[in-house]
Amino acid sequence: MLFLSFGLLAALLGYVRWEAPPRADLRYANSSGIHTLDPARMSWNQDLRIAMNIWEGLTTYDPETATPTNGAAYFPPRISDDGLTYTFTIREDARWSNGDPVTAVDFLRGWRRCMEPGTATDYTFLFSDHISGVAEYVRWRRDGTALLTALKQLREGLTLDEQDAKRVLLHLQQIDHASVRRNGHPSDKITGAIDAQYLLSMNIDWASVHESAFETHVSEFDERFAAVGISAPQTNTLVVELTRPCAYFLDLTAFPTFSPIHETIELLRSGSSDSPITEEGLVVYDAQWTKPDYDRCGYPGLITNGPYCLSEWRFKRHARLKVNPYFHDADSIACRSVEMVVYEDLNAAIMAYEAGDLDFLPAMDVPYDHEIARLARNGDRPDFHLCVLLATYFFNFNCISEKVNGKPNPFLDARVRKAFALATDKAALVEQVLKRGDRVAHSFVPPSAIPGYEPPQGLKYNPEEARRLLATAGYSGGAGLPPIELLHTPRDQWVCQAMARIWQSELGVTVNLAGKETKTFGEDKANHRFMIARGNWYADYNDPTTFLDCLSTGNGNNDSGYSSLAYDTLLVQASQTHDPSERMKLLQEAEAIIVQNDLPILPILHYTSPIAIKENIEGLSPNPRMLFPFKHVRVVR
Amino acid sequence: MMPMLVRRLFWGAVTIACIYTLTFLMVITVPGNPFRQSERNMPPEAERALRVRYNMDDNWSYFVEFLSGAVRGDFGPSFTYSDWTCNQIISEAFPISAMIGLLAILIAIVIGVPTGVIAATKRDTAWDFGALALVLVGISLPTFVTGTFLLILFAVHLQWAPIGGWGTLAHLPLPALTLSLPFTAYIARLTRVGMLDVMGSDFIRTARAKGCDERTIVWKHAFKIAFLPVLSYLGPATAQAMTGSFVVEKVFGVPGLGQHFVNAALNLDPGLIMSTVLVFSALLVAMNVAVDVLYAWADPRITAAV
Amino acid sequence: MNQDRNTAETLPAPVNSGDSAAHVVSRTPLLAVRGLSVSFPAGNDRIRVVDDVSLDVGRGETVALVGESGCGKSVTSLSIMRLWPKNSATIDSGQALFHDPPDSCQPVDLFTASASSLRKMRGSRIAMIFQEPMTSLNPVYTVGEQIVEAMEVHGFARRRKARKRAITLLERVGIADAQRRVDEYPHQFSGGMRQRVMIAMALACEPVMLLADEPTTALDVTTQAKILELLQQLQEAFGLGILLVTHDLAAVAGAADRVYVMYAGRIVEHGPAKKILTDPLHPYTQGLLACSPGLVDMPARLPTIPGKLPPAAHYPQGCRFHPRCELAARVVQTNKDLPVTAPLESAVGPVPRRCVEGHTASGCTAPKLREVRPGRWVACWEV
Repeated sequence: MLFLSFGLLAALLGYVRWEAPPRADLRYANSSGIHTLDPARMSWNQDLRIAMNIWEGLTTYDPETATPTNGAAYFPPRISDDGLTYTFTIREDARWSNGDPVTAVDFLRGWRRCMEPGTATDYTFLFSDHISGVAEYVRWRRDGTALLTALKQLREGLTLDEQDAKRVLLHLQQIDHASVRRNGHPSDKITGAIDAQYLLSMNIDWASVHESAFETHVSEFDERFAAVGISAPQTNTLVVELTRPCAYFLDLTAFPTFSPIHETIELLRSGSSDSPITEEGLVVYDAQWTKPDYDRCGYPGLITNGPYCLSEWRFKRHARLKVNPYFHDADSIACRSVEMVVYEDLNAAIMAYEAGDLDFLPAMDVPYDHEIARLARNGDRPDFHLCVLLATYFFNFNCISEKVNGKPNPFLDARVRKAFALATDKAALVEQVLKRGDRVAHSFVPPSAIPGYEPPQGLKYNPEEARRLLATAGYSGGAGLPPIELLHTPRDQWVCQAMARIWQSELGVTVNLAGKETKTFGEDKANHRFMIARGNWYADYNDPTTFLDCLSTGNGNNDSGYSSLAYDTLLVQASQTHDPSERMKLLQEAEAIIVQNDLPILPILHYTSPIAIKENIEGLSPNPRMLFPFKHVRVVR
Repeated sequence: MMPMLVRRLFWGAVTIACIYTLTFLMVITVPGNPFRQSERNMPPEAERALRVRYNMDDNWSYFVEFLSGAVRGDFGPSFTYSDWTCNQIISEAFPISAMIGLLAILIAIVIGVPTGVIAATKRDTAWDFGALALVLVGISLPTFVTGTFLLILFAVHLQWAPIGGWGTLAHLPLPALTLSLPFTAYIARLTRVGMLDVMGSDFIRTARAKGCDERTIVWKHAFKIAFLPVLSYLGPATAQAMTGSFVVEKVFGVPGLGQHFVNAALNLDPGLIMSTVLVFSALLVAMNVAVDVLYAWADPRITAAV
Repeated sequence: MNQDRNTAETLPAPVNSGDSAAHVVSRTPLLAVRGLSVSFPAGNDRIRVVDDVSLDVGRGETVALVGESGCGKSVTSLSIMRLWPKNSATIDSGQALFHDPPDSCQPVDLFTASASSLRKMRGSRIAMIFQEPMTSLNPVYTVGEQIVEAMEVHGFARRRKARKRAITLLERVGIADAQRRVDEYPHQFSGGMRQRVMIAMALACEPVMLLADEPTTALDVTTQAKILELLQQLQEAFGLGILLVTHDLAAVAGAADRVYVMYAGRIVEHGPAKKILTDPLHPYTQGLLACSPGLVDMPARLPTIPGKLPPAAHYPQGCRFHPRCELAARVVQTNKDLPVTAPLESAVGPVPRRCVEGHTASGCTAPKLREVRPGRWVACWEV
């Protein structure tokens, strides 16, 4: 048995490299590895960080000011007087990492992917909210896909749910199918559950129905997209039509979701080669297209157009970037190679940083981070910095449910919400509980962060007023209030415990902590199964609407369920306004409603995040968007 | 031997099938949405598209689909890390865990067995107490304590080894040593007990009466029998060691399989959960069968019975 | 390796072993045990289980050591080869003089020999077979390997030659188809066959002395007879001296030349086998014979010796047999003037004082072995 083991061991040792490969110019650590490098699907910060370095959008961010500057297109683009048409001219010398020139069609391809339901993008709304025709296209694609999927399932004799069944019946009506006419079942008269048995019993040749629906959809495929407000009249010209003027559109085009995609991705499209969609109507690509060494169907590996390209990616181990030799500024890039190393345990990462193995730590999320913050603030460690982030930590009040877990929800009353907000000693939380150096938040949008916008001043700590308000609402001294349930994740337990105690002592209420693990927490939060739930928001782009839109009626991230006509109206008005300062004033008014009157959320703090940059590294600095473009880095050895 | 082997393999396959079913049931009943990968709410059509793509519309079809894929060796995609398939993830991580695990077991045998034998033959002397103390420490101290201690001592202060990570031969000894400690302790204990048990046997007295010297008696006569319980233990122990210890991998930053067990469960990633569980079960079954076979070969009484 | 049986020698002088040495035989014995005392640890004390035992085993003769279970006979035989593990029995005093080769003037005292020289003698000069053949062989090695080991340890023979000899030995002890069976494992043999294997193993290096510790106790009657027969054959062929420890008088009847009767750690009678069996002198021996069916006519009810052997910690003072001795009781009955005591737990009533005299300054007044007739030694006050 010993021999067997030795043999196995020897065989496995072949996997191990005997010597380390040459050290990259810049080495930094990541704690959870890269989730995905698909620019359409990414939402984690570490993924975005790498994407911004390997892809280059029409614009890029200036790391000092976090404002858009030139990218793959000449800056600034030509903007029409009404602010609705942007014409981008792509640089002559913009190249992919295999030498191919970057064209407008590449951008078209990338942006179109984000509108496809099959890609499952989080950020489709960035396109549909701003670019004309996208919302309709997305809806058409979504409905078409749902129909084709349902028809395919019927063809295979599988069950459908009620919504899909109605959809199918509606379709049958529209195409005036014989059996529908015969049986006379208009979809609006359907009540109760419909199962596949009923549909299957209608004795219809589902295969042919599916096929004809498929053909119809495919035939409209190109012309429907032509109605979307993005076009490429010339190889190097991209024209974008917006639904309304958007002051931050150039900020958006720097966001990785708006990256171009090289045409070789088409080699990996699922489905048959003569139709653009699969049987279910989806446009999907092999998820392995982001690998640098994937070679199925002749795929040459990931091709990108940014200053760096991906040379190696080992899962949960590291990713190596090397300079894209065809990049238009390749020669002026001092940092020729970058390695991102995965350290599951940040303590080990910090030890490695101290030992010189790592040059840069973009996250130092350890239990003693208040110690690190202290060292950063008093200058004992000049290589530690505090990034003041464009992000807010807050508590959601449930503004929509009558009952929560069988108990009446007191937070439907804005006075109760305001009372709780007034009774919160935020300074104490930030300074004594967290001690990380975060900024106390009195508004939703962080102050002095977005140029041209100052948020209104929210409520300050005033326990007297809080008690008075609570009494006005009918819960004098806390009597009559049910026990309040506070939903949170294990990471927030200190803050939540402190909050509970503060409210208990100031208002006389009982607060029960409901700590749940992340997945369950997310589900409960999204479905309004809470009285108070912890929330946070990181800005997607440099405009107050990235925060304020979250609280508009029906927004997918509106966990509190808040709905206010006044608020929604102001937001819509702002979106129609051309004049930037007018617009900002309207947004301020809107924010005043939520932080001064209605309080659907209780802002607690704006995040600061400690980072560490070795003193011999130039070109990286703390900034609110956590932007770290490596092309500006210079390592002084 | 052959019919026994076939029988064991058959029951092993049945065991794996039961484990698969149980795990699947747990995965689909646990609350939480496997498609929610960040705290943002996913647009419903995106979620729907993913469900269709991964064939998760219907539980039963997913059950069959995954199983037929698994039998062919294709574990499907990971939900958390959408660019990777479970096959890729496991084939990246498993050799690393296997290497560390095998080395840990070898160290455990090489250190544990002689310690146990010495403790047994020099019973109630300083050697015995020393060995037992070592055993106690090895079993009681948790691996994150011993691992961190070794890391600080050897990597930070003495700088004999790199601070965690993976990639070269120098990254191998510390995690293997840390992982081996509880196994060493247990093997030492088992060996000691086995040896004490055997040394009182009649045939040992016969060997003495024949004129064999102590060393022959201990190693040739007693040890071969005393080792059998250790051999039984080695089966599941090797499987356990080879599939990675979450704690050791976390402390040393080794990209092994242990973290995937835990993270897959926390992230509610069905494909990865089931594939890691299947890999572990298959390994465990294989190790147990191997140990059974070895045991039968080593102990002629069993061969006769079988 | 030829032994000349009839060499004339001088008697070895008895050494520091009390009067028990007085009964040595005329021929130079192969093994002469003098004054052996063995004790076991018990708590903080020690219990003496073998008290001043002396016996001789000559060349070519079978000497039986007889007694009931617990009397210390196995302890005696195991002590001779010092087969006790470290913290169990210790040899408090005595000698075991082993004369080998027979004409040497310097017998080896087994009790004071060094560990390595003792090891050299074990198996090659003195061999031992044990009571439990089922567990006395190592189950994970073939019988051939174990027999070969016995030879290789002493350099008697190597590999192929040893294997051939092992097969021969197996045939010699009566195992059929030895060629095949030499590669089989102990569990593939029956009890009787295993004992034969043990014998083969014991004789592998042609020793001069064989200690047989109850070799037939664990076997059925037919097999017992066969084994004893085998031992006799081998003794005749090789001129072995055999010390046969047993509780079975039938075995004694068939096989032994001389008998030592042991009770409660002491030798109580000793003499030629035939004489002892037909005319036992010691009350205990008489009782033993009376109890054995088949040697006397079967009575309607099987007689027993009243009482039972006390544990070693509670051996009676004086004659250790007195609480159960009918002779002692009869003496009291017939002699009314004799001072009597009623000892605790007597099975037979009051006994003469001399049978139960306690310790005096000069030692315990237990009866000593006296030669009451030529060649007949008894330790009893009344004989």
